[in-house]
Amino acid sequence: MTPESVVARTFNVNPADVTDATSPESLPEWDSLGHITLIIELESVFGVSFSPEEAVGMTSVSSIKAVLESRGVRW
Amino acid sequence: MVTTTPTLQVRAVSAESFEDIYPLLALFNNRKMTRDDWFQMLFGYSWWAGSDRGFALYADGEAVGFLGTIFSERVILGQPQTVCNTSCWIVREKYRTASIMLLKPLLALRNCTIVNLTPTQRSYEIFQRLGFQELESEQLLLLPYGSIGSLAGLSQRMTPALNAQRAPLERAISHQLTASPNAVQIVIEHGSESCFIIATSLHVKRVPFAEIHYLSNPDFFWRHRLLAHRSLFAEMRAVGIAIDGRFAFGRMPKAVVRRPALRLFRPANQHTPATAVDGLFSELMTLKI
Repeated sequence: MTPESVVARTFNVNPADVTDATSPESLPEWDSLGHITLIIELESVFGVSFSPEEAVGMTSVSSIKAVLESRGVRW
Repeated sequence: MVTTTPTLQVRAVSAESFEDIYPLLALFNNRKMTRDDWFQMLFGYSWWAGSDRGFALYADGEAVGFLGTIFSERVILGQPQTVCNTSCWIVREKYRTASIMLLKPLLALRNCTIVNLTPTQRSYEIFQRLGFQELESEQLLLLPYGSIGSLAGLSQRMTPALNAQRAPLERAISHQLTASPNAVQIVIEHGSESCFIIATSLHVKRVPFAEIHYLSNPDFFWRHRLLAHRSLFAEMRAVGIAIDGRFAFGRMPKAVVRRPALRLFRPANQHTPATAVDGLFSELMTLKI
C-alpha cells in the first residue's frame, strides 16, 4: 500500500483525490481523532512505531512520506 | 522568525505531578468538580499501592496532555487481576496530533484488564480499532417497581460491625472504599439472603438516581428491587436506580428507561465476560456529571 491509499482508506475518500498536498486543512475528516486513526493505520501497514515528534509533524501526505522514508520504509 | 519544535515526552506520573496536570483537567470545564474532586478521583485514592496515576505528555517540560489510569486489584472469575480504568484523556489543541502517544504505554500494559467507561463516540471508535471490546451499550434507569412482597426485608448502611459479617472479598472492597466520600454502601437483606450494594449519586436531567457499581448478589437484588429502591431513597434521596444493562443478566425489568452508555474493555483474559467487570474503583466513584 502507498501512504496515499492509507490516507484514502482511513478517511474513506477517493484515492485519486489524495495528493502530496493533502492535509487536515484540505480534508475535513482529518481532525485530531482522525489523525490518531491514521497513525494507527500507518504503523500497522508499514510496521513502524512513530515518536511523538513524528506523529505531531505528520500533517500532510508529503510529511508522512518524509517520515516513512527517514525510517527506511519503501512502498 | 524562527520556530522550534518542542521536545515531546510521554512519562508516567504520580500524585506529585497533580499541579502539572490540573490545568489540563480544568479544560473539561466541569463546574461540579472541584480541584479536590479531581485530585481524589485521579491521584488521591488509596486502594492502589503503586504510585502511577496516569501518563502525561510534556512539551519542553510543560504538561500538554494527560491520560488517567486508575488501577485496582480485583478478583475476576476467582482470580486476582489488575484492572486499569482509564479516565480524562485530554491533550491541548496544539498537540492533539500527539494524542496517540498517551495510548501507547496504556496499550503496552500486559496482564491487566483495561476499561474505558466513558468514551466519546469518536474515542469509542478508536479504542475499538485498537482491539477493545464492547463492555456495555446501555444503562437502565429503574423507577420504583415491584410487588409489595418484594419490599419485605431490612436495609442498613454498611458499618464496621456489619462489615465483619460479610465475605472476605466484600470486606476488602468495603474497606478500600471507606475513604471515598461519594460511595454509599448499603446492605439489603431478607431472611437468610442479602445483597451488598455500592452506589454513587447520579443526576439525569436533574433527577437524582443512585448509580449502582457493585452488587454482591444480583439475583437477590432483582427479586427485592423495591427494597433496594426504598433503601437508596432513604440513604441518597434517589428517586430511581441507574444500572448498566449487563447486570440485568438477561432480565427484562419493568418501569425502566434505557439510555445509551458506551463502555469498552480489553480483558487480560479473553474468557472474561463483560458481567465480570463492574464500575468499582473507577472514575465513576467520584466523577460528577
